Amino acid sequence: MKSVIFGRYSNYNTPIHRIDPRVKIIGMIVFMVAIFLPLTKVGSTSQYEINMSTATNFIILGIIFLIQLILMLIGRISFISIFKSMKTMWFFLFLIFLLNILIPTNPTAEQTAFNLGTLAISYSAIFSTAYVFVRLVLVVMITSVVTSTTKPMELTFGIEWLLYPLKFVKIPVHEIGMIISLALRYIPTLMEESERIMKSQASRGVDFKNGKFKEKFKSITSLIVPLFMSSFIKASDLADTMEARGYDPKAKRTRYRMLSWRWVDTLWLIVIAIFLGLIIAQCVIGTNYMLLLMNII
Amino acid sequence: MSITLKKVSYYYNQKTPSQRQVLKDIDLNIQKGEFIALIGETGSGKSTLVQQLNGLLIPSFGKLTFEDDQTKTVIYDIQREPSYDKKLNPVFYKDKKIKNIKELRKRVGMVFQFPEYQLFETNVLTDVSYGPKNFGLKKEEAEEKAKQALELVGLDSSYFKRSPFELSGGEKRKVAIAGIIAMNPDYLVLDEPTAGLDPVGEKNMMELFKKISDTGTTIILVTHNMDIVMEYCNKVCVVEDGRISSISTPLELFQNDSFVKLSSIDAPYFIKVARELINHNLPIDIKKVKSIKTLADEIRRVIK
Repeated sequence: MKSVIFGRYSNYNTPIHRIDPRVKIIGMIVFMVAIFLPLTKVGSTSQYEINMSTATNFIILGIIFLIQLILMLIGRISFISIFKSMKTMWFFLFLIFLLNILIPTNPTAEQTAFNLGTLAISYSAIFSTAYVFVRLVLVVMITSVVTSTTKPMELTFGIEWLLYPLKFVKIPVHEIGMIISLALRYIPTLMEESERIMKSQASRGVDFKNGKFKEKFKSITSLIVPLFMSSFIKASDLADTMEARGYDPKAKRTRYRMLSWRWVDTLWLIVIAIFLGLIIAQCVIGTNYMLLLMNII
Repeated sequence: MSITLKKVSYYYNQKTPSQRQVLKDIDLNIQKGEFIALIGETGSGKSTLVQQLNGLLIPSFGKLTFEDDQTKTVIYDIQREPSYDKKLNPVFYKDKKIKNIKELRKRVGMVFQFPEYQLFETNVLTDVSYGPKNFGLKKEEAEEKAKQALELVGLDSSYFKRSPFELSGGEKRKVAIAGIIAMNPDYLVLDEPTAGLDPVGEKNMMELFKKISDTGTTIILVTHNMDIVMEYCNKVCVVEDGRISSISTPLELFQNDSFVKLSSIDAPYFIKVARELINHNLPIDIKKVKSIKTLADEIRRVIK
């Protein structure tokens, strides 16, 4: 049950933990952009160009992987948790591989890697599956870095702060922040509750792990129904207590914990900006090193 | 027939920064037919301890055995590895598989705090017969068991086809308890079964457990209510900071002077009254105070 949520907050005190949550959120977005930037030129037909850009792509993703590995080591994030969260994705990956095989992107320039019966598996199918896999791993890694080094509450404050400009176009930023923080706040409670219910059903002979499909389905019902019941009760209780304490979403609120900006945060922000610049530059120039050389000259 | 825990230790959050030892070398033997109470502060490890009894939690180290008249079944026996890691934390075994866990759960029934939340079926009868069915009974047999259990907790046939969600809180709890009793466990573990009930409901609930106890079922009760301990239990076991600090009869425990210093646990009212009177220089012999009536006798004797 616990392995479902990757990157639960771990209470260490590392440089990564001490970074301002806003910087971490921005950094995460930058990394995600870098991970998902399409570096292959769309519609290129020459085999040489495809080969070149495939190679560069994997080199760049490798560099990102190394950076994230270092971040994980500094932040003392366990690698096991990442493997655990990858476990659920195998089916997903298999599906992508299947789709890639069945839908050729560029039939004329395909090179066959090997034959599977009457099916010809092309290199590009293998490569694009590999892309998806590598990107997923990278995304899981970077989100784990952020979520396991930042307290959920800090994260919400960060999001709320970053969304603040949207207030001027009449988007209820504060309410969104409140919803996110309530949702985050209730994850551990729900986990606890489901663990409790699973235990009490286990003592009635339910086996959540083994058994036939029908039994498994039944055992899930025995968990979901009570969980819903208690969630509804909790939600209405919470609404009552909030109202009893005079909660008004329109009113101005003060904070118990304030975010404080330090000079290290500025430093990190600059590093992230440089990283973003490099990634964009690489994207523009692509594999066309002639252009780069011409510019230098 | 008895159940024995030997040198049971349990760590929460193993191998994380928040690792904490909750149970420390617990030795406990529970004989058949006993009505035993576990008392102790919140967080002393009572609930963790009772969950070891039916394998919901499996200890970091320790041994659990069942003893019948002739046979002796070792349910699990996890040895402590003699080595320690760099920070002097004990090394844990990764693999803790238990072979006959279903058998264990069938023999030790467990009623959690606020058990009414475990109901999920469309009507009371199917919900109660869910447990027995899981342990391999046929539908008709399971329903027969369910009917008996419901009758025992005092819900007649008019309840059988009703939805458990439309019942009152007390009735829901009775249904949930019936769901455990229907499995015919030899041992019944009750984790604060009377929490949140009014005094009448509490009394009815305890009378029900007494009835179950009279049928030969061993009852292990976790509670904070010392009047209940005094009235119903024949053995009481104090859990303090993950250790069992005393096992005695309730009367021995409450009359003991050192118990008074354990301020976290309240004595039953008549003992408290007796102690208050002693503090006000009335020469009452605490050893003779066994109930409200004997307290009255003592006061009469002293005043004469």
